[in-house]
Amino acid sequence: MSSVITISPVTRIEGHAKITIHLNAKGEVEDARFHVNEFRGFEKFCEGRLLWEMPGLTSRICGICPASHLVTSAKAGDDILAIGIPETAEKLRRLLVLAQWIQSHALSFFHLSSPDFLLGFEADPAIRNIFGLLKHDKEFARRGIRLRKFGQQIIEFLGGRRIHTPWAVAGGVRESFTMEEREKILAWYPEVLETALMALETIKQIHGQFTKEISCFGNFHSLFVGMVGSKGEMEYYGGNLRIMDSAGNIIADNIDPREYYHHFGEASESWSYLKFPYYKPLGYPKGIYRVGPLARLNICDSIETPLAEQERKMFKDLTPTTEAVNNSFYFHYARLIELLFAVERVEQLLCDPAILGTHVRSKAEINKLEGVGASEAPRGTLFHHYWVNEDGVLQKVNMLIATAQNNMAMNRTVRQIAMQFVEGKKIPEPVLNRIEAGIRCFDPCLSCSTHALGQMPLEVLLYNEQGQLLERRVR
Amino acid sequence: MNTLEQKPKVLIHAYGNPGRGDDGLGNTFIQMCQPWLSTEYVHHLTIENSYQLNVEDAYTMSEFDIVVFVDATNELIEDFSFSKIEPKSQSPFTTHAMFPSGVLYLCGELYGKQPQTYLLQVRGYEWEMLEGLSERAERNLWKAFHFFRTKLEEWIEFEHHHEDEHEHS
Repeated sequence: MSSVITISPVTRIEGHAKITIHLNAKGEVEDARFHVNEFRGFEKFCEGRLLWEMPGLTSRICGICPASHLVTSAKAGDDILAIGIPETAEKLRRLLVLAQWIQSHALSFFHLSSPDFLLGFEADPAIRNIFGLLKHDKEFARRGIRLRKFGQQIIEFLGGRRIHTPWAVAGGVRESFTMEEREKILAWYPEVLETALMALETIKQIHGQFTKEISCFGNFHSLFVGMVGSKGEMEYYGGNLRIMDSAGNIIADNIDPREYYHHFGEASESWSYLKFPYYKPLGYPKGIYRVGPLARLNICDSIETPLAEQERKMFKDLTPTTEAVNNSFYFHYARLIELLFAVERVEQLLCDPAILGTHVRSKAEINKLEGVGASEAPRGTLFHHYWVNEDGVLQKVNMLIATAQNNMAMNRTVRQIAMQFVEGKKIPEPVLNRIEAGIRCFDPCLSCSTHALGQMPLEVLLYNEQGQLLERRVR
Repeated sequence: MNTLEQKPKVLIHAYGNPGRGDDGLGNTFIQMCQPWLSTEYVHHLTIENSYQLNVEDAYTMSEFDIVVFVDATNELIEDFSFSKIEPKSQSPFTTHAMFPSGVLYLCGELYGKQPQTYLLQVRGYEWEMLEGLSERAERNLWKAFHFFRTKLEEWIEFEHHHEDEHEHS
């Protein structure tokens, strides 16, 4: 008799998902799957809208990274207008993307994942959360909130509103940055730098405590995809795509992101609404790849800020050879290196006189009927692809979202952890949490863009092969 | 005489996604409050809207005396409800569903502040991808808005009485 254990929904990630673990008659894990139940249909929703509405509209996809959608959408608009944007506008957009990284990465580490690290996977689930964390170390939780607030504050200064801001537009941005706002952010800088460094020290200290988890939390070969700058440096706004294999070989480089569709395909599975993007030359499922912090740290040759560059070198030392860091547990470490980079880079940008320029928008009519925008969102490379008519009315939209690009990798991670830790038909709570934690390495954002009070219990269901419910657990 | 500084600082924080039908009730509520910022209320009132509640809202609310969260709900209430919130540690925690009571709990634990906190819930019916409210939700919203306007005046008026009593004592 085989059984299926369902964990639904996964806690401490954004949106709705569940995990099913398929056991064979001996109680051994045969397969495990990460399902996404939310059907978005956002692309259809955009058809018929005007190009100029798209940044504001698409930023509503997600409450966690609206700024990334905003900027990427504006870039697709730039492409359709076929214009370059003013220097100040580009720097302000860069500032916005970095602010998004800071607040998103801070949330992921301080409030979603650190309870596992600091309180332990074995800790009572009732306390293994932000509330338990603040009993454990109030100052740590407080600093995490201030760091996140720092990112939010920049977004607010730039956009005027904390979310769904239509501040970035095709051709640039709507408003410039003021001296007063710049000074406020710069005054905050020493504190957030200290917090970012503290977070890095914390993650490095805990690595030694989780050797078993590190060895099996998504430790497999795959490709890594992301953007790099012209000198191979870490890039987050412009740049071209680089693809690296798990041995550390660059197998494709200098790919114009506007041609992403030549390189990446999207497969579907009947059991999940989330697509399964893959690298076309290798086909599906061999073309499995990862995006996001781990990929970006693996593929870049350098980081342009001094402290983050030092950390990048230490990160590279995780592997004895030139091979890529293949273990998904290190997403957390990579994320915190990026957090440090973002904090340092914000300061550099604010000290650049061009950031206070007032020419922030170029104007043009529709000059192309198709355009692509791409940027590095906190969770990985994000693509917006629009087709318009001569009046700028959207005819078709395609979005390749970072979380979807990690879909195959998340599934493989779940399976690997389940095989390592699950024994028999009773699954202890800490094991369930490890499986969820494997998913949280990727910090997936499955935001369903709506919410209703009281609808996020954790449900665990155990079925036999006839579909009879054997066990149900809710926490 | 009452002074501006002695009146309570009130935060209205509405949340929801205006791109998902009636989930935008809170955002529309905030738009309806906007004109108050051109009146004497501006000295007492801060309004904010967001997609969802999050941990840093604990920090923001610590700076106010009264906090009112406004949200859409699919619970089977007639039109709207208004209730006082008590701090409560949530378990399990998901940022997706950070409750007002959880944010208030964080506020107390992290910043030692316990503002009077209320939740104004407005009944919604349609949650699909569309902009704009359903007719029924809009009717509920107006009822909630009228109720809340009176409430806000009471709070400020209460402070008047309180101040007067103090002066007469």
